[in-house]
Amino acid sequence: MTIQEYNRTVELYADNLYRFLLKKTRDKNDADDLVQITFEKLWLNREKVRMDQIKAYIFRIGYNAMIDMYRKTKRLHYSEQVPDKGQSPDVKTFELKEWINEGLKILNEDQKSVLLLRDYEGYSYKEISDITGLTESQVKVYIFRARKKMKEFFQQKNRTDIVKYGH
Amino acid sequence: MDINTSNYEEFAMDYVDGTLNETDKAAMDAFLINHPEIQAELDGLDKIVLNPEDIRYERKALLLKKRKPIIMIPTSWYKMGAAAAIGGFMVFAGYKVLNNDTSSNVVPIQAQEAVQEVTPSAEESIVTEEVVVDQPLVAAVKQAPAKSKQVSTSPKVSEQAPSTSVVSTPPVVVTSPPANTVASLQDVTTESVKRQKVVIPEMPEIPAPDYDDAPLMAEVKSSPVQKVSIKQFDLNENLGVTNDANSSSPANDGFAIESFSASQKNTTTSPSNTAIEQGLTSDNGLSSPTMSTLDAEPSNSLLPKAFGIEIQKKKVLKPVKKKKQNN
Repeated sequence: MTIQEYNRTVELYADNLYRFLLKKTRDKNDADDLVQITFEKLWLNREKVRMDQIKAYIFRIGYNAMIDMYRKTKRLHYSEQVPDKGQSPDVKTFELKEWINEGLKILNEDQKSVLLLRDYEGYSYKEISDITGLTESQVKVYIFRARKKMKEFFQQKNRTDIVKYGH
Repeated sequence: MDINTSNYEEFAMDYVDGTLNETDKAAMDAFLINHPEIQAELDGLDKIVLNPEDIRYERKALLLKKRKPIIMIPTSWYKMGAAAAIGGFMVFAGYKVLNNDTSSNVVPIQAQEAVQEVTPSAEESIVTEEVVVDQPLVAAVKQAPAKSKQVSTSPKVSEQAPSTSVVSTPPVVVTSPPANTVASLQDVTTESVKRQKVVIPEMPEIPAPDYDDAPLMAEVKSSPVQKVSIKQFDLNENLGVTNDANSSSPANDGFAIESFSASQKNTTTSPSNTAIEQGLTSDNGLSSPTMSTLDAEPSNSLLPKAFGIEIQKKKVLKPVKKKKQNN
């Protein structure tokens, strides 16, 4: 990997990684630290990285770094709220985000990870399996269970309309 | 594939996404018909998809790597550097080679040049060496004017004198009449001895003299070596050993006998001596006592004459010459 390829990777996937880690950690500082750790490891291992798998590679590094951070800090809970400074969403978007964030709280870590990777980043089940280290069948089961929980959550909140804001 | 309540979750998402193959899709449809509660779970599940938020990483610039500045060096600099390196190496190599040559060959080169300029023939080179070696003795003997004049009157000696003058200063010793400064001559001798050591290896081998070859002996004996021997004899006389040059006193013979063999005495009466004397007198018109003394020398090779000691042996025979003069 050249410097140009590395910088291009940063430009393309730094936002995606940060968003994924922010949704997972619900802490901007932790997400920021994890992003820096991820790209630092990418730079150190730039000679071993294949560019056709670069996105899955950085997400796997970020995911593993997050797992390591959790293990060190014993912190398995998320912040209650993630301030979204810098954005001025409209009311509908804000409600959607709030409901989604509330729905994600009922998911366990694996379900949240695979659902975020699937819906936010568009990874295939195979890619999510590579990133998370789960089997492909496990990924499919976790995603199914995550969506079912989210559906039940929105039905309980009488916000089935939110579902319409999906795809 | 048998789909049941324990494994239907593995096929649920593919069934919702519509990516199941026909066989699995038919099995799933059959399973859902038999399990309507599971069918209710799947209904509307395709709508539960998280819409990604527009979240930006604000510190992205910190992750970017800056390119290292590339220093552009003109190609001419490389050429100049290479030329300078080659030139430096050549100078260094040349300096080394010259140092080695000069350190090991300085003396031989000078000696060779001197010999080439001075000695066109082998005989001349030998003569010059002999003269140089005996130079201190000659200087001392020169105080006796009579014999030195006799030597200088010899035409062959006078011819050889300029040749030897180039190598060292023997001609000055031979031809210059009254140089009484023995010290200065000894200084010159030290230099000439050094050069003699260099010249000797290149000196061709000289055949041993033959008594039958009287003219050759005469020529050789008329060389400065003969003069030197005579002068040394005179020096001895000056030193008080024998002051009477005309008498064949036992003192003269005694000096010769002490320093050399007695056979040289016997050679004084040998017929070859008379023959050589005649040849010398006929050639030079002069009957120098040195000739007679040299004739009396046995058939020793002339090569040792190059070393000063042998020359002194020849001088011992000088009393015979005195006898001849007396005769």
